Amino acid sequence: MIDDTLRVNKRRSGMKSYQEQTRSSTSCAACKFLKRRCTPNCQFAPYFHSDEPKKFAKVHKVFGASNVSKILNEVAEDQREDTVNSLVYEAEVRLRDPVYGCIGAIASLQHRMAELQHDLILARARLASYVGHRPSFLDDHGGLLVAPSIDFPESNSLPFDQFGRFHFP
Amino acid sequence: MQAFEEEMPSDCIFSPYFPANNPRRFAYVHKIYGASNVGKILQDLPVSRRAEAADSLYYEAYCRIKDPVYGCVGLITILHQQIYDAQCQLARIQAEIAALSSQSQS
Repeated sequence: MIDDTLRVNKRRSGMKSYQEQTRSSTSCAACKFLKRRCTPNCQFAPYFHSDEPKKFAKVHKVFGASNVSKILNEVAEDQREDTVNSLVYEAEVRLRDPVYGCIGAIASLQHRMAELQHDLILARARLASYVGHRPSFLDDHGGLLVAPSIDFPESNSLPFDQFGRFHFP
Repeated sequence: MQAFEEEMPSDCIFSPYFPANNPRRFAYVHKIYGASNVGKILQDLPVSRRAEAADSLYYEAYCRIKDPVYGCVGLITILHQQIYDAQCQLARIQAEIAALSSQSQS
């Protein structure tokens, strides 16, 4: 009976060490983080390698594992790597800037774009003046007399106005 | 908050930013982030910043629902490209102006 008990314990400890080995040596970063066994068809394994633990930790903190899984299930398999990369990026920015996240970056880029559009209008007008057609809103030195009304082209689907203010849907 | 179909306690962290008359707002952030993660993000912020955080979380969730692959990161990529193109255009025009200016001076 003692021998049977020893055999069972040996088998159990052997199984346990197999499980631990599976979890520790072949587990993806997601399964290691979630402390679960990583299966051969683990959804996260192709995108969260075991040597990148922080990558999964970030998306888990912001989105949660089940939400990441749902998003991945919604997209085609050949788009999942891009999806994961964009989720990681979004999570990183949100952790750096918990108030604005990526929206802060977008507003800043939109503002820069508006400045460049303004500079382009002036530069084109100045160039035109060299060809002989000085626009009426430029003075003799090429400076602006009156700010023209600027219509920025609709460059993306964001509901931003020309001052970089976004309008929530 | 109708998604939970519960009576909201008066100290609910969501209620100032996700009113019942706009159920889509909470539904979107719940779908992408989950209520618990949104609650933690808001909880970690001073009260004065929570409205802006809720707005930005809603907008990012909206972008992700519209574009599950890239979300709002797609817009960042587009803007970076547009800025680069505009800078190139501006540099070309300024070079032309410089050339014409030196011609007219000589």
